[in-house]
Amino acid sequence: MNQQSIKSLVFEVNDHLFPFIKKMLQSIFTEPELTESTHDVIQDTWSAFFSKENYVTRLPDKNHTRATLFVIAKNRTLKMLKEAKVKIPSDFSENAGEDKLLESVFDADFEKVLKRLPENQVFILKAEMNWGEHYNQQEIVEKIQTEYQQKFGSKLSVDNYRQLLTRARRKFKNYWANDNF
Amino acid sequence: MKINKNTQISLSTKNSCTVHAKLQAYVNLKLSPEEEEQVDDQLDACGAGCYCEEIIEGLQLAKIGEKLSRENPELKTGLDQDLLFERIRPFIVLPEESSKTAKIIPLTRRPIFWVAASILLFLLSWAVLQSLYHTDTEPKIVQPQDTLAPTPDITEKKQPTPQDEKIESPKQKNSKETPPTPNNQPKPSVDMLAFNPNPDLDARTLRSSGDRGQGEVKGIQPKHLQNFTQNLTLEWENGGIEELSIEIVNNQNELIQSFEVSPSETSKVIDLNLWKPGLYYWIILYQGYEPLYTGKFYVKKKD
Repeated sequence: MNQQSIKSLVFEVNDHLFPFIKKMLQSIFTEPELTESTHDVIQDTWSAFFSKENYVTRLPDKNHTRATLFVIAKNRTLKMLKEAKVKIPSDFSENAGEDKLLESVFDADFEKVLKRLPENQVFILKAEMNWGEHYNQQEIVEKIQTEYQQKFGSKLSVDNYRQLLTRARRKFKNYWANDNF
Repeated sequence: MKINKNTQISLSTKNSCTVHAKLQAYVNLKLSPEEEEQVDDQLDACGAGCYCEEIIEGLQLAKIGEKLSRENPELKTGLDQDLLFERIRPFIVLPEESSKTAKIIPLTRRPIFWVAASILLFLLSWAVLQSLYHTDTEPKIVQPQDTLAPTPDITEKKQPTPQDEKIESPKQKNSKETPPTPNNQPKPSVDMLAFNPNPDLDARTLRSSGDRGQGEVKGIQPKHLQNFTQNLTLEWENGGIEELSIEIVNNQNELIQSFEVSPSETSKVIDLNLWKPGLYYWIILYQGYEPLYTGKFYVKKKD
């Protein structure tokens, strides 16, 4: 990879990063600060990318480079939003507050996406949304395991719960990203 | 990217995540239900903080970015690609460039320099000591009682004085007791290289040495370059930042240990019993990749 090809890559990625970050920052900035802050986040993102050798080695793989940059950009933008004291919903607990923020920022149609997921995953997602803020996963499993067993015919352990939740979130985002529901 | 509590798992999962090629298809919903299930199984086995999970999240976000760019062109108003590239250009490091940079690191930062310098120093010490011993054997130039004389003459200056002894290193003292011969000269070992500083990590410690950290996170203990033998207590301040982790690497920037820390945690005892002597760096990271503080310490052999 040479300077010219890296320039093409930077242009190509920035073309998608810019609207992505700008959309997230719209809740706290107006023009001209909005555009300037978006530029700042993109600069920080690339700077962080190149400061980590592990990331630089991903450069030949365009998909992984792009993926890494988007994760860094998301984290940087959320940090900026947190610093601006934007309330991040915590319906999903753990990192899910961020998920929720992203969903609201990008207008995800939650109910429509849910319809695409397997029923047991929807059940777990909803349980996490209802109880996750106030109870730990062990407590949630204790609350729902009887109902889960009646509905799906298998016993629910904390490990199953975590696995189903992870899969549900992953799939949810896939459908959401594809807008294919 | 999160860092796993168990480093071994984290490293092995990076290598064992065999679904790379399928990730894009997985995110694009192009896999059959069976294949999807297979990828899910592998990702579950990969565990929390898995490298592939990070890639999946990134691919999902990239799709959203692409969609926004395509469907909401108004969001691209104000995008100045050339200006942005000029701002990014100073940070650009290409894989091939990083290997070139390694070739032009200053002489004083190359391990070979320190090995050569150690040999030279040793030979010089040996030569000086030889000459001193040679002087001692010359009769009647300096008598023991002369050294106690209140006004020693010029010839006494050849005899080591107590002040001279003070500035001698223990190594020099030992070599006085048993003057080295070409046969028993210690050769620089690989172990010595473990104490060589790492220029890149050192640069980070210099950046960290101002306010000893950025934002609300500050490293407190150990101070730079303290020596430890059995246990080491890492201490830091955290004003409530979540998703912090700590990595300890050796001077080759190889990961030795890593762990996540909760916002309320401010210290951790590290058992050094099985650690090799050498120079180590400890790095407080935000979200697994952004270094907030870098400190360093030595691990020495137990007496």
